Amino acid sequence: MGKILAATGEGFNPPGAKDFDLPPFIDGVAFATKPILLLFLSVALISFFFIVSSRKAAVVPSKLQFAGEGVYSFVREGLGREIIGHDFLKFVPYLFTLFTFILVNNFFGIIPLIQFPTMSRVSFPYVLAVITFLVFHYVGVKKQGVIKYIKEIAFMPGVPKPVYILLTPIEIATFFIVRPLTLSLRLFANMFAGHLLLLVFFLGGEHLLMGAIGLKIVSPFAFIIGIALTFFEFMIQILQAYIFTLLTALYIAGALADEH
Amino acid sequence: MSSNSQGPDKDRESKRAEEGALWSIFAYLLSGLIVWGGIGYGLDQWLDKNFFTLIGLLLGMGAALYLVWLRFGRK
Amino acid sequence: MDGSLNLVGYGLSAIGPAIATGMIFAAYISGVARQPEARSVLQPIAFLGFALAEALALFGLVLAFVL
Repeated sequence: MGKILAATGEGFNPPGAKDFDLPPFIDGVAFATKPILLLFLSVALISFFFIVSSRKAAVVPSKLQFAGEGVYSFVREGLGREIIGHDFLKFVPYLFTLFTFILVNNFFGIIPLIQFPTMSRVSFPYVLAVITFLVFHYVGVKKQGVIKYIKEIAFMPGVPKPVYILLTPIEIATFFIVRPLTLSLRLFANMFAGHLLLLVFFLGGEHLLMGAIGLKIVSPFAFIIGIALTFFEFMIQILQAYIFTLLTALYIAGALADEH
Repeated sequence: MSSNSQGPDKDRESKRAEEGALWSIFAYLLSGLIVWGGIGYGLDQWLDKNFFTLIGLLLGMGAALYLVWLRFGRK
Repeated sequence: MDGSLNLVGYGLSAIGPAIATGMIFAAYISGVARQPEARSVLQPIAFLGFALAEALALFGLVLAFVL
């Protein structure tokens, strides 16, 4: 394979992390990059969709209203009521915003002409994870008070005292470092890897198409696999938005729970 | 969590625990390795030895497994 | 091509825990499906099995970076 590629004269330039490094499109304005533009676009789209779908709310819903209410009740019933339990209603706005925001930003990865998942730049998931981190610790502190909350996190009941030296650092690290870190990195890594996978198949297919006659015959297979992977990506994008929201709800539920 | 322990409520609670537990177990194991492995690595750098990292990793994994048993294993 | 052989080794070592986790939850699911009231008995066992299998995978991950 490498020999044939070398024979065509130009080497294949494999996609990598550099493909995610988009320069600003206005010179000198550091904030005018594609991901930030997409971020604002997603906010505008979400607001527009839900304002339109709920403006003419009727008892017999139109198709648009049905879609909007479907998403809302999915978050409210499936994530709010099921996981947080009673008192869930005041967290529904946050969960709902989080879910739709991540979902739309992930969808940008496979929408033609846009084709860049915003969350594949790691700073966006970081900020979302920091917000979740602040929310669930704030909720826990407000419910139980600072000392009792920290004590419940750091000290498992029913353990001989010397063992706390071993266990307390792990608990502290879990709650304050590993949880937000894994939350954001999971979303980032999935979006990054998914986008890279699609790039490999489509750019590789294009390169094969430009190659020798033997390579032209194989190139449709690369495109077919690429299209199949696009549908797979669609599934992953929904799943990741769901998991991020689910874990946020679980952390809030854990902070609200009186004792384990 | 909730005070009444009727059938469906308890069932829902155990399902809820199931969804959260897997991620928590993963987080505990990871942070056990990172914390105690990191301490061992620091000792290695400080005292110029090479076995503290391994001890730290084993200790951290043992402690994390113990923690998982405490939190999810005993019923 | 550049990269580290450690990561190839980690990829290989992750196969075992992946299969183990799959088997643990396959057994757990079929157990609960046959006898839903056994859930509370099986759940801690499944979690501990998962933790033990996952421990090996994480060991591989950390050792791939350390060694």
